Amino acid sequence: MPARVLKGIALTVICALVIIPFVGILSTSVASREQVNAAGGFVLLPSSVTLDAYRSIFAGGVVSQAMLVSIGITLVGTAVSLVASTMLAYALSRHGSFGQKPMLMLVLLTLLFSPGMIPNYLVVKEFGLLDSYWALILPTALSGFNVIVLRAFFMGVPAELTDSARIDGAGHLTIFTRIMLPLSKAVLAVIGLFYAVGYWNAFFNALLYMNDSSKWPLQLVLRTYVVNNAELGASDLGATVDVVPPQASVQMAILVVTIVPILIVYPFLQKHFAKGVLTGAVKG
Amino acid sequence: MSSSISRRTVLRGGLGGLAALAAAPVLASCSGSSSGGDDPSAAASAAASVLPSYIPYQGVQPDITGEGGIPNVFFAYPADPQPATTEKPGDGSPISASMGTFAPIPPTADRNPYWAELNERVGSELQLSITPGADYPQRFATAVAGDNLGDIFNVDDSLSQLPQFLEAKCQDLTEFLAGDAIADYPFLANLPTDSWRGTVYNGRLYGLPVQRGITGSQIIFTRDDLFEARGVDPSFGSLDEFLQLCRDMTDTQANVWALTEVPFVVLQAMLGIQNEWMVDASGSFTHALEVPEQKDALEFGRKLVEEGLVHPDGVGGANADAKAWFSQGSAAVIEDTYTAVAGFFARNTIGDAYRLGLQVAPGPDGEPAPMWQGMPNNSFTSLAQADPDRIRMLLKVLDWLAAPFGTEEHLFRSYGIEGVTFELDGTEPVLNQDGLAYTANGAFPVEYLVDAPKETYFPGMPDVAQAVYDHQAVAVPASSLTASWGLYSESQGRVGGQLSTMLNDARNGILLGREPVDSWDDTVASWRSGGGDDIRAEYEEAYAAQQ
Repeated sequence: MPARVLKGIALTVICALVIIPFVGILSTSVASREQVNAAGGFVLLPSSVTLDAYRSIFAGGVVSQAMLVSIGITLVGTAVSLVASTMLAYALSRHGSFGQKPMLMLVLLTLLFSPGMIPNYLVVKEFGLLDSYWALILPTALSGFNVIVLRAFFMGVPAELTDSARIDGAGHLTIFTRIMLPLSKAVLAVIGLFYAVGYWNAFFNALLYMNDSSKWPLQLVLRTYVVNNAELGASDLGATVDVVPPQASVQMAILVVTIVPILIVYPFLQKHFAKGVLTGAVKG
Repeated sequence: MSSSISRRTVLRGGLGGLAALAAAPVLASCSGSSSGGDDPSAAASAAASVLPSYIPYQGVQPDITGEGGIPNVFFAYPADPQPATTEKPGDGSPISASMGTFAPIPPTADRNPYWAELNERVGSELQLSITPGADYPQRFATAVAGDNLGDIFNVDDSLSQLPQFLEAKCQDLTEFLAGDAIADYPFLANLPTDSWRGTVYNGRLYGLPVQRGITGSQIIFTRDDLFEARGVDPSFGSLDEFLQLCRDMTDTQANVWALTEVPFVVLQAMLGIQNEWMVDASGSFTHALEVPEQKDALEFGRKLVEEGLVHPDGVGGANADAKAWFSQGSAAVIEDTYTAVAGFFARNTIGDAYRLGLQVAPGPDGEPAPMWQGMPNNSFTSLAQADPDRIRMLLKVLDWLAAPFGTEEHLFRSYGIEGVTFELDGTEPVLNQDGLAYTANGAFPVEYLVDAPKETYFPGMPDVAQAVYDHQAVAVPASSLTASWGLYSESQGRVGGQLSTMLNDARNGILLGREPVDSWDDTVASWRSGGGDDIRAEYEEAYAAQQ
């Protein structure tokens, strides 16, 4: 019994350590300037609730528009990445396929070296992708790491399965779509999540490739609030405004807006998560 | 919101202010009184031949006319602002421009009535490529590499080989703007000469200043309400008096410290150290960090930290936190710029009880200390090379965007459309929530292309404007600008950032007591061998070329 109590206490403390920062973020985002000042910038339990910080960042529709862009980029990008990665990984997992070794070397090379910022920019420009949403997808559509994980998974699928399919007259496309992909749901969920989080969090490519700020993803728009650290109406502009929420509340509101959508996805994929990563990792 | 402000020490400092004008230091930074464009030494220099004439705009009369680099003062926004132009400056063709911003991103023209109206009034569509300020150098470097800068662009002056870039890619504006040619652009002619000096490279004029004047100068602000509550006088006539008031205002048991951070810029000025680079009569440059008094400043700063008079997170801490500590009363003294005043009042949560003091720091002789002037420009803007007619049209547009305070063009540019983005409270324009997101006084970053001179104006707080002017009237005549202003050093662009980090680390080490003050000698030696001497030599060469 004492052991269970101790375990309970330990788990409660650990949960609290994880949850309290989240509560603080949420609380500070809805706290008034007086409370933020009194608490020194981080409010744990607000005595009253104001949504001024959220109103401030959603004013003008920039954040809402950016959220739509981010959702679109994440969905389309993840789909494109999964299709390209699984097909490449399948080809690389079949011994003797055309150009397998040089292709594998090329993929591995991307893990060691990455092109610089300016070469990347010039490539995107030469392809005419500046100010196009594809500029946010295509340059990062394939991750060498994810391809290697997928390849390892595909190589772990028993050869008897593919051999018997082949005897029944199946070609590579059939084997890939009818056998490999249905067997790969766990690893696809994990790799899909990796890609989705990558697309959701990316901001730097938009910074370089998108001149039109109406096409910016959420992270870049929100970066202008956080990195610049400028409190509107409290700058040297001398402007009078009716309501200016404190910078700490605005920053915390931004964290909430950024975290929540991707956080919602995790529980649905959790059951696949450990299995998918381990499968790919140990059987390579 | 309270507008209470203490002027006691401003007036006290003022008694000695005039006498300080007579004091001529052996090592002198650039004159602090040349901002009006009437500096005879500037006229004598070779670079002056390309500088535009300074023709102050007379269409709007300020409540106090600033002289010698002090901004004009307006106690209220002028009633019924009148148009200062008669025609649209644009020719109907789109104009692309890029700049960084230090505010959230504004909605684009299709959903921003202010931007749409701005396009209409300019007579051309302004296609702005906006980047968060912190990321602008990377954005600028890629755009340079991709030859994709647009018609007008704010220049990242940390770009390596900047003069070569300007010569190769940017329009030489000398023939359009030098001397009296600027008269074609009356609002650009209203920009002070010191600001134009920051746009001269290779002896030619390559840009337009985004000017700030002396508003970026660091001074000491005090929370006079907190001082009053403790019965302490916030003014100080010497370093010892400053130390004592810091002791009197610190109560660590109550989590209250006198200082947000070590006010190191003002400390150096109080010890008589001139602004950053100094030049003597023979044209030799000396950096502030090399003079013997620098170690006295470090020793004094170390003592402040050692005695626990500085907020525990205040050495090497973030400036945004310092403002918060000052606002919430965790600290009663802060070193900040004139531009911070509006923010202090915006963060006030205690209403009329809030009182802000601007202190004139004393120098070693008790006269006003040589205030370190902030850089005259935030940055500068260049134009892509184009045919002369297009350049003239772009300059007309930029001229329109520099329309001075109190004109109808300025009212629109800053506050937008009445009833949509702002309302009038008497004559004072007050931005609404949409205005904050849409307009130039909110998030719209057009001020980083070109800007009218910054005037001293605090809506609804004329006593604050008066107090800022009173402080400037005493502090500015004794102030100095770094002698390197308007000079180019390749090494400064290449290694200046690293050296600055190295110096900051060494300074913080001493202030925190990790290293002895004498270790500064080694730091200076490292700075000299690490590029400091190269920077000095390049400045000396550039300075000699201008004489």
